[in-house]
Amino acid sequence: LTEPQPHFGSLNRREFLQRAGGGFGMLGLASLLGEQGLLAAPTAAPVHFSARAKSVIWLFMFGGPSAFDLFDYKPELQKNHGKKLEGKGEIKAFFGRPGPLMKSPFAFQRHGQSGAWVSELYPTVARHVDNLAFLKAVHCESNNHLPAMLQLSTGMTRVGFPSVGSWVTYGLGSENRDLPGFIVMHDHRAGPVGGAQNWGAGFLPGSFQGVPLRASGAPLLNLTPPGDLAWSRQRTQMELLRELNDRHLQAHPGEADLAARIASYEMAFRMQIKFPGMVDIAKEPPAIRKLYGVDREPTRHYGTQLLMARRLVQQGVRFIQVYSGGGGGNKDNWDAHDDLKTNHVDRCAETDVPIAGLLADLKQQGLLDSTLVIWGGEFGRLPVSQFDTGRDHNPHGFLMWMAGAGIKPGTSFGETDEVGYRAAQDPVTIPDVHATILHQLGMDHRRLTYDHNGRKYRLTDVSGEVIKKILA
Amino acid sequence: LLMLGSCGLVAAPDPALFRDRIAPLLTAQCLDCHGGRWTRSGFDVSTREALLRGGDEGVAVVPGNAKGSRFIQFLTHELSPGMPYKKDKLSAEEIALFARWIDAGAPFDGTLQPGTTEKTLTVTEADRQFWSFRKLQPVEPPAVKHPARVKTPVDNFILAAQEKRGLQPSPPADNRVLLRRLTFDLIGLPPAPAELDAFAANGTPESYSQEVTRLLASEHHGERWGRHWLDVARYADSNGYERDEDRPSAWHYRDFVINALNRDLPFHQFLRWQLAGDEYAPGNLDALAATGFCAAGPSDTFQKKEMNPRTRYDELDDMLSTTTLAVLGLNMNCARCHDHKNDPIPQRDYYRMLSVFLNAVPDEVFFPPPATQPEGHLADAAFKKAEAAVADWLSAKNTAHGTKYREDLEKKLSVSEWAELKALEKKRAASFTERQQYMRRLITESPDEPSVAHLLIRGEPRQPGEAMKPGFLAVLTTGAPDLERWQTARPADTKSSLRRRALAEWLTDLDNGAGNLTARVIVNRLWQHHFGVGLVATPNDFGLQGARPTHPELLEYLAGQLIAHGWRLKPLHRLIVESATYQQASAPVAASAALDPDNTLLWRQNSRRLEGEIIRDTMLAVAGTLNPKLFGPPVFPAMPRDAIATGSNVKWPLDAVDGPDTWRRSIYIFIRRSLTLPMVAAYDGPDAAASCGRRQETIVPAQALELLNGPFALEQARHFADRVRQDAGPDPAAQVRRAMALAWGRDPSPAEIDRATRFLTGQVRLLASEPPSKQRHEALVDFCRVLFNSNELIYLD
Repeated sequence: LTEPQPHFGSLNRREFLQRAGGGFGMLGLASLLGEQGLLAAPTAAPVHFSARAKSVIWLFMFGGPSAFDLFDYKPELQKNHGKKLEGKGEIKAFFGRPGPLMKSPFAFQRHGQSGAWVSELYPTVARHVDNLAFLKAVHCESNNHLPAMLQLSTGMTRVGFPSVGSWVTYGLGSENRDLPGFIVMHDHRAGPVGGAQNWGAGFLPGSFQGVPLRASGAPLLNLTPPGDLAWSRQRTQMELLRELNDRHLQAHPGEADLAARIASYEMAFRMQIKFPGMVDIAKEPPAIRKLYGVDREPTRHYGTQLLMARRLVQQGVRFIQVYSGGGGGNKDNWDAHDDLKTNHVDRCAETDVPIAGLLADLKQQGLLDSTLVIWGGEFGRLPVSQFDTGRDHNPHGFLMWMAGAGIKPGTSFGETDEVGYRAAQDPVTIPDVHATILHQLGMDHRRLTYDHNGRKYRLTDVSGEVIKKILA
Repeated sequence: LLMLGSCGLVAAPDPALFRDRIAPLLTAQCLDCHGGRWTRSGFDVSTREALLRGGDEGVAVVPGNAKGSRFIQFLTHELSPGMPYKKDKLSAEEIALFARWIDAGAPFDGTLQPGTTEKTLTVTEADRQFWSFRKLQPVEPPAVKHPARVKTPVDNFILAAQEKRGLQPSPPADNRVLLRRLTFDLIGLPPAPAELDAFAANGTPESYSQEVTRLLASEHHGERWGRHWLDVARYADSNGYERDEDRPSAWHYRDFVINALNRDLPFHQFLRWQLAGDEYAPGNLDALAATGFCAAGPSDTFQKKEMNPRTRYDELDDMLSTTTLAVLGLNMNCARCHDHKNDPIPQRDYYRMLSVFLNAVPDEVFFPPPATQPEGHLADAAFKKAEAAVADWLSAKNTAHGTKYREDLEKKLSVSEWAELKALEKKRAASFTERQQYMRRLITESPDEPSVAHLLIRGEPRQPGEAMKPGFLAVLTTGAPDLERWQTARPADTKSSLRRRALAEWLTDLDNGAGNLTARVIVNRLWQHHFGVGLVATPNDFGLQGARPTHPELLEYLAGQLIAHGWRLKPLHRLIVESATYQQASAPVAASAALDPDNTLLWRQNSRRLEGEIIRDTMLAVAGTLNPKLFGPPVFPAMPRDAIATGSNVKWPLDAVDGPDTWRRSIYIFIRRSLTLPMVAAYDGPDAAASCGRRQETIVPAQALELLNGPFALEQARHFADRVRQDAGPDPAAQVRRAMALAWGRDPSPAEIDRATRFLTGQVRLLASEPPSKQRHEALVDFCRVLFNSNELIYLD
């Protein structure tokens, strides 16, 4: 099957790009214009300074993982097990009354040159601590899942704002014309609470919304012809359509939209042909599949998704959000209200090998230098117990880490207090996290703006500082 | 004299200490985050009272006891986070000064003013003279050099501007194009081929006018224009946020809108009911349903309001901001935290106006009908019984509600059990639908005394400032902008504050209120949907940052005409669509394009893409499957499982199948905030989180994939092919002619017929392994699907 060439009719390429908006299936606006010698033309959002990251993979641990059971060893918490938490003001638990301090049931060890503490739950990730930069004093504005997730995903706790991936693709587009710029993969059990509200484009053009990608079956909605429609029949349909549309365009010379729509069909057809292969992990050598845990349970699903993510990064996809945890039940995500031990043991068993595999693979393929990897949930968990063996939500101080793409490896920034209740030293806000992500992609968070309903909006609203201390 | 705490001996107060040392330190180091720009952790140092009250974590300053004051411990970094936040620690001397001051009882002198406070905005006479804020200007249609080109006074304005630039208007569109354009614009459906044929053959200015009359009278007119208004009203059938529960009776508002537009309810009346139907006509169910406008915003029901007071203020902001965006084209939201940066809207005006909604609570209410109509009571009883039956059955089987996936439940139950459950649920659904008829989503108010709004410092609910007198925007008001001027006396039997009614009166008051702007904004919306772009290109921003009108006098004229016609919209539609400007051909003309490439001066009609909903409606109409039923509860078309699975739980009926019940116009599809039908989402359907004045228009492969491979497109292509076979018989050329006439509204050329019949022959060959009867039919289906995808169907000339 020959591949149809892009066709722009009477429309020049710059007009076409402006109409098509640079999102789904579009080349990065800046790069394409550069290629065409058209950089003098106005662009949606020029790159503001040299970028370290080309792509972002955000490992979103939905439900809220516990910092001091994974990466933030707290001797005082271990020591004061069973005591009442005092002197911190009223603890605003999400459900009911908080119990006493509860030590981590997991053993911790130092790892790597950096000597970072990691619990026994993440033995494989622990081998990579020297690549990570821990942010140990992140705080957000809500102790309720969806508002906190919305803040992590869009900067605001309310619905209706563009997600980080939408802002990024609005600013930079995708590097690959045959792929969406912003891809979302959710847990095999279900999506996160709020569903598509977490990856919506808000008031940005809809082409910048996250595109859900499946780990099995047809990877994208409507990617394959329905039922028994053979490729040969669809190809002749496409040929007829192209002819009818060309005739129509000839009768409507100079109509940019008509030409753009013709081109969008050609992109769609190319995607049908190319996309399944692009994400097909069967093409990976067995050793690589093993590295991600694709060959076994319980890592098969997350491993598959992360391996697909790496393939997408190689193909130039800009922003990939991969959720661990879905659904509303505590057992299906990181929301360990009643049985922290089982919950975190299960989640870590699903994610440890895949995450470590991703880091190792990105590194060995030379992609880690240009790929920003982010790990974290919408908040953390309280140092006190809930229902005796669980932990409630904690937005006051929690942990995220970043790796790759100009992030200083083997570092740690910020501390919570001695028991991990509240950000104490070098606190980091969500706008700070967002500003840093945009910065690594070469964009100034104060200058990436969009006019809507009479107001200039930005991802970081009115605040945000790049976390310079974790930059290499 | 200072009132001190119970801490025994206290050092003698030294007023100079506060004035000379402490006040400057507090102002420079603390106030920005604690009582100035922000009030972090609820802690405010701007007054002694607030300082001693402490913050979210309790008392911070114990007068007379510096050692026991956490305030000092934060400064010394004994407590975290160390203060000042993210700044250098204060010097030992400075901390000692604070300790001395607290030991002295923390004396204060007045209120600290943040050094950074901007001057309060004052609205001036000059602000009131901005083009959109002033009174409507009397205008006469200008004289033109070629009066013969004028069909309605609209043309005088357009032609005069063109003549000044040396532009020629385009010739009239041909009759076929014209009727197709008119029909889509007024009712959102394609004209029948027979209608087109008749008008193409015999169309005259008079018969065109008759077509306008017919289409304006069509019951589908309200569906077409209702959808435009629902964009502005951020309407949806669910709450949004985490739970995103159904709003089972929200659709009564949608029906009110459709019905009001069909009846041509005067626009000021239309607005009055939407804002305050309950206060104008308390017993009238339609008026009550109209207040669904105020109640249509997203709502986070999971956030308990006492846990986060901001949630309630978000809800109030949604009501206020949507009202001003929709009616006035102004975004009040900017003034929630500070004076508006661009427009003359002081923060005070925001909170004065917020008073209007302070007692308004969105709710869903069952209205027991009068005893003479026992159906409602029976429906209520039947629903409760059916609901209990499902619950009882499930608990008897020891199966919880909300099982994660229905598939899991299905696996767990035996076939007969599953059938039993389905039957019970079907009954419940049916009775629920019955009962919805007697419910309304609306605004309720039940205060004993209307509440007083306070200006929130920096928009922070925990920082109430001065009490605000209810009022409106000063810049749009002649005289004092006090709400009481528009308020009617409150009858003894009403619980309502009648403030929303006062707002509605002010919004439509041409003499002293905002009525002039209200009229400009709505006529601009009409223009926009007839030309693709408004005279003001930013329909939701008529402020200083918004676009200026391309034809300011025409906008004044249209607004004036709206009022002259008693605020009725249909005469305005007629004025616009009967103009020569509207009826122009859309083909580009090189000479004109060179002078005005963006067609700002409308030397041609714009070519426009149909919206996602209208594409879907058109496919149904062309396939002959459209169920034209009006009104009623929303429908759930089949939704791909992959789309449903993106949510944390099932938010769409998994067993939904398409059929005549779902082949309704798209305005009747259930709008779930967290899950939009892919067909609508792909084609830039609006995000119902906020008022949308103008949809984005993107062209992306997801749209192509939807129409190429989506199950809806395939199914409708089959029906389309069935219809074509039935209408045209077995002859391929006749089939092609009929299919193209249905899809494009014109007869194909011989070359097109030839090309299409060759396609059919080719497809038959590719289907050689199928039985002959199937070969012919499948080939036709393939052809019909190509037509669904063609630009000629998707775009209007």
